[in-house]
Amino acid sequence: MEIVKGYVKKVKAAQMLPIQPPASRALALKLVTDCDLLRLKVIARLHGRSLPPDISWADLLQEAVARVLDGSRAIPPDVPAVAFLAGVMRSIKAEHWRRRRRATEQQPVLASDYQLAAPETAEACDPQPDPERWVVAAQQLEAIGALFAQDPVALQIIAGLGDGLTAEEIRQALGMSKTDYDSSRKRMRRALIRAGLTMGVRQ
Amino acid sequence: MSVRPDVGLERLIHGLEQELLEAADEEFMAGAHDLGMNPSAKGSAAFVGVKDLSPQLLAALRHAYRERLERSAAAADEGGPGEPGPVGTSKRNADA
Repeated sequence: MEIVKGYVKKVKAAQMLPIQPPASRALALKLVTDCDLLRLKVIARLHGRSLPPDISWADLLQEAVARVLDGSRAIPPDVPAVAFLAGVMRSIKAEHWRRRRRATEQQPVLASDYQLAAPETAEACDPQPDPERWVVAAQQLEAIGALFAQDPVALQIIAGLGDGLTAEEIRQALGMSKTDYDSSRKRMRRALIRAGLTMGVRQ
Repeated sequence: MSVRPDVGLERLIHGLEQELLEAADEEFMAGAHDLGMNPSAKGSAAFVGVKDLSPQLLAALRHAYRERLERSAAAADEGGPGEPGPVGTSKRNADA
């Protein structure tokens, strides 16, 4: 009887294997460490702020890891796995928005109405900006700002990053010493990490 | 910010992503500990959504699994070798 029970247990374990999340498989294969997974989670949550509403940050993360595991994205030998996976997440996010934009283009009335309202000087992120993406982006900019509401220096750094300035350009623009700037960045990272590890799966 | 919100958000995310890539491992562990999480403990809340499956991913995997079963059943009906069924799938189940 014990032998049968043991066999049943083994079969069940084998059946469970296919639904192990890709991130866990990557960990088992030593492609990433536990700490890498925490880092990836926080980065995925950050990207989750600019995802279409029907996709979660967890889907983005698992999909990126799955693509590396199935060989459709190979990690170059000189690139750290986490940095590469972050890049894959970025590219998957862009794919989702492209797919969504194609769907929007099939609604000519909405698209032309929007084009009338869009400023001609808008910098190109997408050639035809998606109105929904604009709204999501405005809300998320506000939400990120709220994370640093108590930290005026961090808010200035965020504004600089949003304007596409480099760390050095921001530091010079704010007239900060390197030490002060680095301690501000550390406070920002701490707030981001806390936010990235705190929230629920869908948020 | 002097640019379109979507452009600004993407730039901001890119800048913050670089910050997170440069952060030391200790900062992540400290962040988890600040929240009362112990990442080295089995089943730590720090890994919610990472080491478990989100409902969306679980649904996608179930869908893929069902499709695979259907393909195996169709191949068996046609008498071809077909794709091998998942572990524990008997021929009788595939025909049903």
